[in-house]
Amino acid sequence: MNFLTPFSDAIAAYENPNAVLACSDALRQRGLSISPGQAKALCETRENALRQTARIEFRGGTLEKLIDAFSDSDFVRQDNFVELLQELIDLFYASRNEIPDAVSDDELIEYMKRALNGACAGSIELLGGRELPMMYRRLRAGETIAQSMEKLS
Amino acid sequence: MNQIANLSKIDPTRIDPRHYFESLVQRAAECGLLAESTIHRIQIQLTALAAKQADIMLHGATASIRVETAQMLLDSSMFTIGTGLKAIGSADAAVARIAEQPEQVLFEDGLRRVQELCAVARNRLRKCVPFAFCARERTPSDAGRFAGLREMPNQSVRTGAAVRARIDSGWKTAARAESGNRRFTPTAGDAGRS
Repeated sequence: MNFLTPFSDAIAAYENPNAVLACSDALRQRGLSISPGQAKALCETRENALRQTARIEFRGGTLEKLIDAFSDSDFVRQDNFVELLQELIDLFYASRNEIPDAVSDDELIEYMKRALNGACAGSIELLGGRELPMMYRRLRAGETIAQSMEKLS
Repeated sequence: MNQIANLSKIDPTRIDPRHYFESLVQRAAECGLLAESTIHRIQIQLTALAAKQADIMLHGATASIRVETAQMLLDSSMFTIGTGLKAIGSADAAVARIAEQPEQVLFEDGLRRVQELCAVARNRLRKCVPFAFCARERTPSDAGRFAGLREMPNQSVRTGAAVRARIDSGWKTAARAESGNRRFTPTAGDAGRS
């Protein structure tokens, strides 16, 4: 019975591009900026990622967390910032389907940040192809996310 | 003898008892008892209810959940609301309550009703299988009730397999007692057989 069921397709709480633009002040201190068009593109990337991973987000805020966490990375520059964020958004939601719900969004973002800044040396390919799958395997083997983080070089 | 009966706009036979809430809203919408704006409000409030349930389930750890998990939470919320509405008795009165009350209130009413029904079921099971829910220490008042037993098990046996085994054991004992035309009294052997 689907009369009252709004989940026939993945839907996402509307992420307001203005909320993304509100991060501008913090970004400016780090020498970065986001235009309204880029903010809208990031919101669209999030919606597509949610749809592709068949997930639903009832409240926003994840995008701002990702921007805040990765904007101070040594490997982020103004010219690759938005593109890198889009790839990180895709990886984030894909990873959420691979790990238990008990692992919080903050812990996953922290792991991704440490891996990208450390073992991956800024390479998204290494993050998505090696470090994150390794973390999935460790979690399935019974390790905690904290133990996995300790093993990051 | 002429009887006065309320004429209901909703045909109760067309309401699916397994999906009472959804079915009732659908029939009410067809009969014009619920406006489109009310149905839109219900959908929004149900989503908010599912979001709240997701937060409770995941302790707020993650903002996103799988669609099937969200669907499951929504289905269970609608089942709970439907259980509460069934207790009202009349479909028209239930529709009026849907129109008046926010979904959160209907959900809380339904939850109370579910808990009442669970308590009734637990009591009935306890009568059939005396030790199905033994989770407390033996008290002096139990002495007469459990006469004939060497000891009363203190451990909780709430797991499905254990309860099923005890139900099975209880039924067998009851059937034996009935066929032997004697009063059913649990013995130490009955309790230990599970």
